[in-house]
Amino acid sequence: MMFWIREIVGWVLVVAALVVMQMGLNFALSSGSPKIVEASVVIFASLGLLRSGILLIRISTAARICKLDRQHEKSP
Amino acid sequence: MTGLARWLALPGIAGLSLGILREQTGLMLLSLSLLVWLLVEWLLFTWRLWFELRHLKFERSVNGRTEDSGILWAGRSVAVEVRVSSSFFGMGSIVRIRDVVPENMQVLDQENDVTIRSRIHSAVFRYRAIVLGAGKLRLPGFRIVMLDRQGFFRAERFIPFPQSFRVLPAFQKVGDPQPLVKRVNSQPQHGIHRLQRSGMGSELLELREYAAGDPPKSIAWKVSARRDKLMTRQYESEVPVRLQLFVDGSIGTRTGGFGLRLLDQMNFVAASVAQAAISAGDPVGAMLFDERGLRRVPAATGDRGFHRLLDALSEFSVNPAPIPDRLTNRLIETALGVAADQFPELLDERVNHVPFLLFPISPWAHRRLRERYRLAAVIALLYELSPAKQLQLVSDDPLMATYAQHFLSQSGMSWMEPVISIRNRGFHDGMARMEILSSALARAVSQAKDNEVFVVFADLLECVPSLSHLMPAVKMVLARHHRVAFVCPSPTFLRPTVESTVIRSLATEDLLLAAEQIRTRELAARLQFELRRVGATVSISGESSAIHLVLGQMSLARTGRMATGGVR
Amino acid sequence: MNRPDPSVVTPTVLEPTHETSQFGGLLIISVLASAAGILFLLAPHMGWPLRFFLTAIILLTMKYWGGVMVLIAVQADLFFREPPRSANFQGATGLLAVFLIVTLLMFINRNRELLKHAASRPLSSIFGLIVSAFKGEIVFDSSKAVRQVPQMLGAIIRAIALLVGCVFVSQILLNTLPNRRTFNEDLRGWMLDETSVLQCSLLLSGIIAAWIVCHEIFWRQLTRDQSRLYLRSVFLTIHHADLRMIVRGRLHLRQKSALEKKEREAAAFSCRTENLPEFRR
Repeated sequence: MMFWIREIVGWVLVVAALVVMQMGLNFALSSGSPKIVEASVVIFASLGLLRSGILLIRISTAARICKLDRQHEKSP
Repeated sequence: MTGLARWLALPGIAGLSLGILREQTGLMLLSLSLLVWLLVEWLLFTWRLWFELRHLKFERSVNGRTEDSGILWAGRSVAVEVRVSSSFFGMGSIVRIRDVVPENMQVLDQENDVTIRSRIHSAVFRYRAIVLGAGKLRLPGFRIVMLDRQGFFRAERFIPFPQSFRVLPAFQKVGDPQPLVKRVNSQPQHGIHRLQRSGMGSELLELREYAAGDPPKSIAWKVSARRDKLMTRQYESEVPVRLQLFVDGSIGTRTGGFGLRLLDQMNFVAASVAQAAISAGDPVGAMLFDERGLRRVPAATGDRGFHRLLDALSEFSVNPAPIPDRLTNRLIETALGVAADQFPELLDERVNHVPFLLFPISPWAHRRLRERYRLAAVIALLYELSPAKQLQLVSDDPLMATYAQHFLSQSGMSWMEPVISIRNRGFHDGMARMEILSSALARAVSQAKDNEVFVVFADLLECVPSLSHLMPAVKMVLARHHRVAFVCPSPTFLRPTVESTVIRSLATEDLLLAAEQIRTRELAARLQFELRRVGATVSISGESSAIHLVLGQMSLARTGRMATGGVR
Repeated sequence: MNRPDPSVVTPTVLEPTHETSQFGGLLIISVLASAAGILFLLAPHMGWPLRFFLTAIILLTMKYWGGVMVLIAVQADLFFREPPRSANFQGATGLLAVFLIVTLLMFINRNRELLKHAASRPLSSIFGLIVSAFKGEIVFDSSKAVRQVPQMLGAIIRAIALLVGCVFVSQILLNTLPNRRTFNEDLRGWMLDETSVLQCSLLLSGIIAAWIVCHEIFWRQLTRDQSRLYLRSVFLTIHHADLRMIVRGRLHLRQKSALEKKEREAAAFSCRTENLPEFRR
């Protein structure tokens, strides 16, 4: 169950990162005055979120594969 | 991505950039089409890798048997058949499949690999190989290289498919199974020999004058009447002859490639002699000794006894954990090479991360450290070490050397550099060997019956200076009326005769061989002199001449005749 | 166990590709001829001897480099000869030309093994092959050839589909994405029209999301050992500094105790020697 929770949290983080990244892009491309500094800060934060989300997803996937294979070994 | 794809992508990117800058539509379109083509090929390749590889199924039969374990014989050829089938309709990738063969197996007539297209549903390839030395043999699995049709992408995988075999030593059938010197009045029981000493047998040995205490039923009345004095019949004694083999498995006998080790020569002679003795009904036992200690195989006869002895020799021939040695670059490189061959997926950078390292600054040293991190991770995974121990492997050279040696040894590599380095281990090793051999002989004598033949298979050529430590034990064996034969195989497989020391040509190999033979001949002469003095026999070869020497000693023991220690 | 039927075992599977193909000789000739043809069309202002020389050089490199040198030659020709903002390569002509060049590159790469095999033979045998092809003396095993024709046709159709797809996608991308000429106009348009900015950021986010999803799907191919190794290496990466400190501390302690032991033994030996009685005459 923990694996799934971790994976869901990971995907939530990835989605959040994408939303934040889009906000950052909007800052950078805003019509009046492009807010480059603000945009870079926001995009940097989104990259951190993205990285942690991907890490969580990968860890949970790897752990699940390990667990599944062990169960397969035990079952016969 | 292969070099070809990189070299195509590079002009593609350069052309696109230049095309954008100079607004040249043709250049842009061509370059972009090329890049898109590469991208599409990559996607297709990844798809194939995912779907096609997991649907490949293997079946390997060794000598027609598909079981996970079995028995093979050293020196005999093995027929291997591999069937590859795919339940998935492939898209035409090229798959190269190689059955990974350990060092103890030499492929003979055909190659142990095949190139197929995954669209083929089933393929079979066969090869013949020869097993080189006794011990253990493990066929680990299949190495797969997958390529796309254009040669742009390449992926390597290893599919484990282990099959383990116990390799029994080779032997030669020699001699008459039941040697008969003359016609006899009564055939003795199988394994019982007529010893020409007085005893309670059925054959007449001699007549002598009656002495007080002789049983009255042994009085030869007719002869007594003719000679006019009481004569007594003396009968031969009927005793079994036991063969006791002493096999040395110390480090010096295990170094070298499989099939070329001194131990392999000794195994061959020991197994041949044991077969001849058992076929004549004589029980055969063995004392196997090395740095780990002494192991006794009780004397037994019959086919079961022979196979038990071969099993023991086979188990004894498996190289133990190598002696810890210092870490060299070559050791790491070889271990990495074997890891890349058998565990390519574990060296993938996506899963085998190396933490961020600032030092060392030098790119070569940096690369070496990163490689060591990767190897440490693979070793830690295989041996289930803790993460702290994994990191210790990176910093602790002796620990890394020990595990790398062990890894190579278990992967089927023979005891040669870099698994172990040949050092000057001469004198102290020789002393230890003499001590353990002396104690083995003493133990065997304490458990011996009347009539035994002791055959010592040992690398004594290198221990000639410390031979005096062995002499008391040899004298004790001979004093108990047992026979002792020494078989000291030569590392060059040649008997050190005068002819063998002749320089054949001025080529480096021939000069080295002649030098080695001259040295061996000098050592052999000293060894023979020392052992002849006390009445033991010596053979400086691991070939059929050694077998005949031992069989000669056995036939002497069977008849009870005495003979001076001959030298072969 | 589901044993494969021996009747389906392909008997030719052990044979190398160049031997299985009945059209090997023809393919080599057509690869060389088409490459030479394209190369002769390049740089018409250069003299014939130079063109001959360059063509020969490029053909000789095909064994190792495949179509790379041909591509570079074509690109160089376009770079020097194509006028900027030219309309020559727009529309069907451009598409057809690019299609032909990429087809040639694919053709060369696909038959690299054949080229390698041909290059390992003496030159006279290749000339012999060409001569026999012209004379119609190439021996065909008709049954084999008939078996191979559908396979080859299938491969050609797949390759054409792939090429058409690639060239069209490239054309669409070039027409859609801003290039240098239209970049300023597009940027101005975006500045004035907020919806296009939103579309652009959405497109970028979408591409990143698609990329992540693709990668995560492929990540699920991991084997059990790879998963274990990944978990291990992530743990090690996170705790690397602490673990390294612990390990170095341990090693330092071990070295120190070994040194102390050595010194103690040396001291004991010196004590023993000091306790010995003096030598007297």
